[in-house]
Amino acid sequence: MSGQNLRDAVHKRLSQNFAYARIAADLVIQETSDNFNLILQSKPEKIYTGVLLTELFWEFIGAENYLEKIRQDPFRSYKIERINRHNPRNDKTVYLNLQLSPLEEDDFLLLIEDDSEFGQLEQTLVQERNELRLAQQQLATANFRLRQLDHLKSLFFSMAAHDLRSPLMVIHGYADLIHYLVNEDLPNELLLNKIDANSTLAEVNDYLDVIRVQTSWLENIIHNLIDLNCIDGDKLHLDVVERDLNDFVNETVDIMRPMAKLNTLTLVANIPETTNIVSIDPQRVGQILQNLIGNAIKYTPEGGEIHVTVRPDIENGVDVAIIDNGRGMTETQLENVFQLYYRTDDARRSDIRGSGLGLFIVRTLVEAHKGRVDVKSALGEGSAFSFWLPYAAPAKDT
Amino acid sequence: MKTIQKKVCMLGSFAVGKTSMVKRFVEGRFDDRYLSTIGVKISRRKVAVAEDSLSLIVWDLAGGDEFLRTNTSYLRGAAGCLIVCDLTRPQTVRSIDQYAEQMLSANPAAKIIIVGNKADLVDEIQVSKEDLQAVSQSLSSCPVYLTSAKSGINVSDAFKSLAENIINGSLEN
Repeated sequence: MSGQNLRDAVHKRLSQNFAYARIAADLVIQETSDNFNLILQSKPEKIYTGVLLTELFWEFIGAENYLEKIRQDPFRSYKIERINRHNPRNDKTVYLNLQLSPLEEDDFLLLIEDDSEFGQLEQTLVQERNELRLAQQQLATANFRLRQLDHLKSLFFSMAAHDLRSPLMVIHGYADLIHYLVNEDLPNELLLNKIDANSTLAEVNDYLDVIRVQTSWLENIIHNLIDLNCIDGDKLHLDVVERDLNDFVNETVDIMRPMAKLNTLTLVANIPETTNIVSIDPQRVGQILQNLIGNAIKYTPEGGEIHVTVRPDIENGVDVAIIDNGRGMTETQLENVFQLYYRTDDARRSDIRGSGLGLFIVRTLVEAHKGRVDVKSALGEGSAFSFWLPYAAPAKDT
Repeated sequence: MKTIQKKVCMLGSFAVGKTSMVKRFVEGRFDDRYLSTIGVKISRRKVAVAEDSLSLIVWDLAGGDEFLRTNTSYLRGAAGCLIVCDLTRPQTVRSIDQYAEQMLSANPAAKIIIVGNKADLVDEIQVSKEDLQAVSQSLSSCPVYLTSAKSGINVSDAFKSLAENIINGSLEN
């Protein structure tokens, strides 16, 4: 390539990528290079002479003081790289580099470089890098959650095993006792406990009550486990019938009363006289009530009271409240009480059984009935759990 | 009514939604695609503050901690900034302090607003307003906003708060 050809090639290359303008001290554009409009991708007839630099390039707004400094220092310049300009004609981004340097007579030289070729390449690389980083972060988060879930599941299985074992041990113990009583071969240590032949029948009845309560509780635990599986797999199904909730609450309270009695608690049902017809799956609502009453029994100390109150005609539905005067909860505990596997620190430290399943299932089952749950509590004073269910829609005339 | 022009910057880690916030604020729309910003994209919108009209020149800067480390000149002359984090990515909160430090070392009087974006992703949120308020304690208890560029919630409020702080700051000076 001859010297002239080389100069032409360089000139062509420069004129495709670089434009310049002379800017006065008051930042008004004095003159522009021939390709100024081409580089800015503006219309050829547009005239920039006389336009304020900060109007054409907002990039210089706020930098006026700094420009004043560089105007007095020939070794300084103000450079901004990779300015994004959207070109609506081809929907592409143009990347410009701006450099403002002092000239003689207090003027500036503005050099504009169209760096789109490299800019677009860099954008592609950065985009891929950032997407990779995002994926890595998401993977790390998912991994962390999986490990947490794995830990919770292990914890849950150990609690569930403990939950199942405790009533089984009680049932086993009382079955043994009945066996001894019926076969009149009580071990000596129990004979010393004043169990005589006259009291045998009464004793057997009492022991059977205990077995019945523990069996019912076992059944409840197993229902909870089955339901958790259904909820997890989104397979929860309700067999809905219309029932008077009053009767239903009465029946469940009767079932739970022996359990309260075993814990020396008073269980009171306050049922209104008017009927409250709701569309429910009786087995599920039975679980809701057993979980809530069972919970109140567990967390109320001996001698305490539990009131189950049905409140009719609330927002076209009926509200059932289970109110105890037990240990109560803090505000933080209240916020989490319906979370899966959640147990309060106090409960975990105590010997009270629980897997953190019951209240989660209560909420899920109530919501499946288009109802809602609520809880109020004060530490040391007790808790009031309640759930609301809508009335059954009246049958349409045919 | 007089119009004042002020440069403000959008700072924060990559993919926290800085560009989406500016698009929502300036153009009133949202684009679901994620397109990384390199360099700087400049937009302008006027905000009425008391009896004045403030023209915010918004510098939407490339995200990522390494970008600003080598390009602090982009912050020159800024009157304030929104430091944006992603409420679903706690790691984006950790660099708020560094961004604030860079902004204040370039412009000691700059006003700062902390923004937790993507508040619409309710099920994925891992950062609370309290977490951000704890960060703001070390930054003169600067205001904290939870926003969603997608739904538009609080986006204008965050920018307006920055504009008010800038105006009040210049009145104090």
